[in-house]
This record gives sequence, structure tokens and C-alpha cells, in this order.
Amino acid sequence: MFTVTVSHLTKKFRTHLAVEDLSFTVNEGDVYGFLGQNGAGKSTTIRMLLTLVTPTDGHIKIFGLDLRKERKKILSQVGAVIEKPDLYKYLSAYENLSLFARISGSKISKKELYAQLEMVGLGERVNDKVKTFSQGMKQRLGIAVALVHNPRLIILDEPANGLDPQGIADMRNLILHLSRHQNKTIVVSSHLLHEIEQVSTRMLIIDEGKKMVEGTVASLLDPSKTLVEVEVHNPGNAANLLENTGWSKWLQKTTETMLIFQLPRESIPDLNRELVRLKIQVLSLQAKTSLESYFLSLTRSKQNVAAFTD
Amino acid sequence: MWQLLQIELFKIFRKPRTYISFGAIAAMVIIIQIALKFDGQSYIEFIVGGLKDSLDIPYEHILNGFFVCFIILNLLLIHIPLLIALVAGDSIAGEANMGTLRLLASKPVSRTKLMIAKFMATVVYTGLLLLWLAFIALLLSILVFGTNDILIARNDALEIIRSNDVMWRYLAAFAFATLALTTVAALAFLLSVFAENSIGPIVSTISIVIVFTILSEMQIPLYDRTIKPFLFTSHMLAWKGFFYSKIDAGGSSIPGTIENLKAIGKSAVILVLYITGFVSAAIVVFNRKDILS
Amino acid sequence: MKVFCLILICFFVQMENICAQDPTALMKIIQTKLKKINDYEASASLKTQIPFLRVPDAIVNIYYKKPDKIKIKNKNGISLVPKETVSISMYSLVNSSYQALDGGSDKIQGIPVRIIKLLPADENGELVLATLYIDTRRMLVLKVKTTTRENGTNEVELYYGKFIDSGLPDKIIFSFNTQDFKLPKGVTFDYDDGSVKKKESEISQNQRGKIEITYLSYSLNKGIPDSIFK
Repeated sequence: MFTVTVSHLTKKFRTHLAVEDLSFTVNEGDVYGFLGQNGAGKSTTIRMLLTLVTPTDGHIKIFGLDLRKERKKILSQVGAVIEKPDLYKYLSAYENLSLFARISGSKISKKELYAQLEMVGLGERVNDKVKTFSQGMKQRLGIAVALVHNPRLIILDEPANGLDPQGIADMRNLILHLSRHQNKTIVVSSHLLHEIEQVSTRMLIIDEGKKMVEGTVASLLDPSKTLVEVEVHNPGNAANLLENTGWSKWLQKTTETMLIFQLPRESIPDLNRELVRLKIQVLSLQAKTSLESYFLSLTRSKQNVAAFTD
Repeated sequence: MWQLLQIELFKIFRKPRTYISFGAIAAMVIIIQIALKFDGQSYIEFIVGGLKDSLDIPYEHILNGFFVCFIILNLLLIHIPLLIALVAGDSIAGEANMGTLRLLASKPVSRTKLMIAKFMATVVYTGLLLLWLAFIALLLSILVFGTNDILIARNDALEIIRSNDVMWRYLAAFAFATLALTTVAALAFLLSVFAENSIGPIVSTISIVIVFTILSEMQIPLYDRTIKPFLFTSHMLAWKGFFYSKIDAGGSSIPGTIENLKAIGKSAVILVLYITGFVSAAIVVFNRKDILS
Repeated sequence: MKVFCLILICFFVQMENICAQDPTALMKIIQTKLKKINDYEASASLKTQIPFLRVPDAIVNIYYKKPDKIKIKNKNGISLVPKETVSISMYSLVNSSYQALDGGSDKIQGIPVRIIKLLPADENGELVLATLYIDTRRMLVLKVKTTTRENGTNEVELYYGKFIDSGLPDKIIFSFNTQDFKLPKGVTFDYDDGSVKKKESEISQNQRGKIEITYLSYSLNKGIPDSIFK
């Protein structure tokens, strides 16, 4: 069963197209990674899932219900930490948690609230004002707020932002714990691949508001589909030389400087030998998983633009 | 709804800035009371102007708690909008600035309900602020200065109201002032929807109130019958109408009467229309707003 | 008894004759009558009718002491009384030095009166002219008109009834000029209820103010401490 179904979602802010025709599904029990650079449209999409931003076009269904029509019902089963975990600074951890539990419509005893704070490691600071908290403590309280009403779907937007390495590790463990032991469906966004890679079961890469690739992490990291970028002197000529060999079927693309193959990882040495045999001058050869390559190619194109404009 | 209101009130009254207003009112009132206690006659002379040459003015009787409270209201009700804007302007923009608005708006509560709860909380705050003003300006003045008839300085007359005819007028005036200040709260509330920090709506509200007040007070015929009847600031002063009595054929004022209740009613209706307009606009805008803070 | 009545009639007739002929003699009689009143404390109802004063009717205490001390005290409230009204004392008026002139006759309150004009001996004094309308039959002053340098012409009309035996009025109506009353320059932030207001010029055209005092009781010649008049 799909927990989240997004179809043809588009959001336009005046002239800026933030999200364009985005479709994806999140299955029940997924830790769904949402990967993209800053400004790729992740936050806008997540805000649309939480009804903070109204889509220009498209549909969102959560738990099989139309988000526009069943907002209240859906959101009562959704918990979220959106970007920084901002809370009421002049209230204590307990007051914040209790306040949001009430707004979420759940009747939770004082004892349970204390237990929740204990769980996120704030048991000692229950009555301290949030303004005295470190970023990591705020993040943990934010998580407690997101979980306080025992939601089925948890949305975490850049949860590692501003955390120290230990904090990031704790966050990773928490996500895995929630997924494996509490069977929560989690949507987690990040601009860092390895974070997503370590926790996600499925993921989506988004760039400039458009879907780049979606799939299970296993398939995206599939070694049988390793992408090999071969930098050569004259790619056009090299492609011609390869035409009559069996390697041409693996050739995906020829660029001005490169030949790009997609092939099983174990075939790379054979390809290398063949290139030498054909006397193609290889300047460099890089093998990547498709996920990494997609992501880096996106990053690189951005950096190129940046280099041009700088 | 009740729970939402409770939550909003809890937030307002846990915020330190809320108490600035209560403190400011107490300070201003006490300063005025001290000044009048020591030099009330000068102030009364200022009010009666040249009439002190023609009339036998019983200064010691005029300077009483009811009179002092009226002076305080006269001086303060112009400035209290600032204190109201401080909280009402913070209502949405403050949460946007703090980053809590996105959390709040992603909760299973309709934005309309959230807005109504927030506005009601602001109204409760306004009411409590006026209750505090009533307590400190009326009761404290009565304790310090005692009671007697009240001398009211009007634009074209001096009016005296008997002491046993004053209390109900104050009740009505405070109720009306709550309505008047709720209008300011509604304006600040509306402006608060557009901003990402509370300074903008607070300053804008005060600016609008000042400009409108100037237009209301300019007494230029061009504005008098064109813009002025539609400015909410003109109608905010209608609380004074409760202190204006009818006069009989002989020119004596008639105790227990209000000179122009109809006009006060009209002013109240106009203020209610303003409040409804401001709050409805705020709700519509907020419902359509993309929360990006 | 008959003889007594006759004497009394003769007295009145004779007095009328005196009056008819001599204003100074008439003033002497009034003087003598007023001398009998050393002081009084009266309870009265006060009605103020001044264009720019809106004052409810009040119950006041009025204190008088010879020669010219008058104080109106509001029992439990505030009254605004014109200073001139307060300081007019018939006693001091008739006991000052003046030249009494015959001003003819008229009718006040439907009663025939003699008009006596008093020209103060002090030409530089505040009082320029006083006109008394005297009911010569009862020897009562029904109206006093005073013209002063500062305050123009003020009038006092006296109505007699149940206190006539003491020679004291039941009701007094002061009317005076309010032309020179300097109104405050208007308050800031006054409520404009949208009704058409009288313009200042209209108010000043309607220049007469009135104070109506209706006496409810007198307590005559019981002695009043001076402290009351402070």
C-alpha cells in the first residue's frame, strides 16, 4: 500500500518554477530518501505534503486520502521536523511538547510526555526554557514534538542540518529505530548522499524541481549498472572505433570529452583492455554507481554554472 | 476551538513582551496620578482656560478620582494602540519569525480556526489590558482622590456629571474602548499575516493609526464630511460620547442620559465592520498563504 | 384693632407718597429692611443655563453674611457659578454712597414698580449704574440691573412667596452677559458624533447666561462663621 502518492505535482512561485510535474510514491514502511541540492525543490515538495504550500497543480494522496479534502484526518497522523526545529523559546521543553501534543489532537498524560522527553535524551532538561538549549537539544525536542502523537508518517526535512557528527549519528540511529522497530513510514530529505544512502530503502533525486531518478536504493546502487566515464582525446572517433565491437551496446552517451558506458562492474577491466587494443588514448576512467553518478553529474553541472558566473 | 484559544492565551501570557504593556500602563497612570495629586489645579486651569476668570471654579472638588480617570483615559487611549499592536502584530509574524508557524500550520487544525483562536486571544489580551487600565486608572484614582461630580471638557462646552451618574458611563466607556482597541488589534493582526517578523506590522499599525488620527483631528472641511466619517480612528473616540448628557429646554444637563446614543451606536457598528473586514481579510490571506518561513 | 389698621394704612399710603416723591427716601426704607438680615443659610435648588455649560440641576447651600459675603456651596457635588453673580450683594449696593434718581415706573411680574437709578458717587468704581425695580406697595425689590465696567449688564430678578415675611425671595434669576467668557480653545481628540454643531459665533450671539435659584428653606440670623466664605 502506498502511504504517499504524489502525481504531477507542480509549484510555481510567480515566475519561478520550484517543482515541476513531480510524481513519486512512498510505500508503507519505507524510509524514503529525498535527495537534492539546496534549492532543488525538496523543501517546497515537503511543505506541500504538509499543506504549508499550496500546489499550483497536481495531487497528493496520503494514506489513500486526498490531502486537500482530508487534511485534518491526514495531518493528525503525520509528524514533521521542517528544517530547523524551531520551537517556542520562552517555553520549557515540557510546555512545548504538551502544547503541540494538544494541537495534534492527542490526549497524552504528563507521564507519557516526560517519557517522550526522556526518550530523546532531554529528561534532565524538561523544565528548562528552549532558549537555553543547544542546536542538538532543539533538534531532539523537535523530534519529540514530531513523534508525540504517535504518527504513522514522519517527515524529516534536512534533519542533520546544524548537528555535530555525534548528533548526525544519533539521528541516523533514531530513523533506523523508528523504521525497524516501530514500523513508521519516514520521508527524509537531505542534500547529502551518504546520509540518505545509509538509512533509505527507496529514494528520489530531484533537481530544479524535476525528478531525476527514483527507485530502491538497492537498484540504484546496483553494481550491474555501473556507470563508467571514459575521458578520451577524440570521443567521436573513439565511438566509431568501438562501433564494430561488442562494447557499443554498453555505450550510453558520447559527450565532447567523454564516452559514458553503463555496464556490470566486473567488465571494467575488459573495457579498459579493449580501449588500449583499439589505440584509443584514454585520459581518465571513472566508475560510479548510477546513483552517485547522477547526483555528482547534477552537482558538477551546477558547479560549472557557478564557475561561469563567478 | 476552546483548546486552541487556551493554547494561544497560554502563549501570549508566557511571553515577556505581553507584560510590557501592563507595566507601561501602570507607569503612565501612576505618573499622571502623581502629577495631578501635586498640581491638579494647574491642569484644571488649563482645561477651563479663560473661564476661570468668569466662573467660580471649585478646584478641590473637581480634582477627584472620576475626573482623574477621565483625564487618564483621554491621554492614554490614544497611545494604547501601540501596546495592542505590540501583541497583535506579533500574532502571526512573530511565529513566522520564530519558525513555529510552519509547525503550527502543519498540525491538524484548520487555518481558519487557528486564526480565529489567535484573534480571540488578542481580544482577550486587549480586554484584560483595559480591565487593568480600569483597575488602576479608576479604582486607584478613586482611592487616592475620592469621588465627586466629574467635569468634562468638550470642544464647545464644559459639562458636569453628578457622581452617582458616572459609574455606568465608565463601564460603557471601557466596553466601547475595548471595541475600539479591538479594531486596532484587528488591523495589526491583518498586517501580521503579511510579514515575517513582528516589527513590520507593529510599526505599520502605529503609522496607520497616527495618520488616521491626524486626519480625524485636522478639522478641515474637505475631510470632515468625506474621509473622516469613514476613518476608524474618528469612531474610536466615541467612548467619550457616554459622558455627554442630553440637555433640557433650559440648558441644564439631564442626569442618566446620553446626548447622542445613536451616533455612538453608529460608531460601534462601523468599528465592528472594520474588525470583521480586517479579520476576514486576514483569514482569507492566511488561508491562501504559502508558509515559507 | 381698627385704629391699628388705620395707622397701618396711613403708614403705607404715606410711604407710597414718600416714594413717589423721593427716591432717596425710598432707598432708606429698603436699606432699613435689608439691615434686619444679618446672615442666612439657605437650602436651594440651582439651575444653570449658560450656553457652554452643561450642568445638571443641583441642591446647594447658600450662605450670606452682612455686608457682602455670599457663598454657594454644593451639598455633594460641583457647581460652576459666575463670579459676578456670587459677589452681587444687595445690602452693599444700597449701603454704598450714591445718588438716587427717579427712573419712572414699570411693571415687573405683573406688579407695578418704581424704577430707581443709582449713580455711584465713586466715578472710578466698578459699578457704573444700578437700576432697582421696587414694588412700593410691599417695599420689595423685584429686579436689580447693574452695569459694571468689566462685565456689562447683569440682571437679578427676585420672586417672592412663602418667605416674604422675612423679606427674602423664593426664587432669584440672575441673567448676565457671557460674551466675555473666554471658552477653552477646544479639546484635542474630542468625539465628533457627526451632528451639526453650533458654530462658535452662534454660541457667542446667544450671549445671555442664566442662573436660577429656588430657595427651599432659610435659616435666618443664626450667625455664620467667616470660615464658610473662604
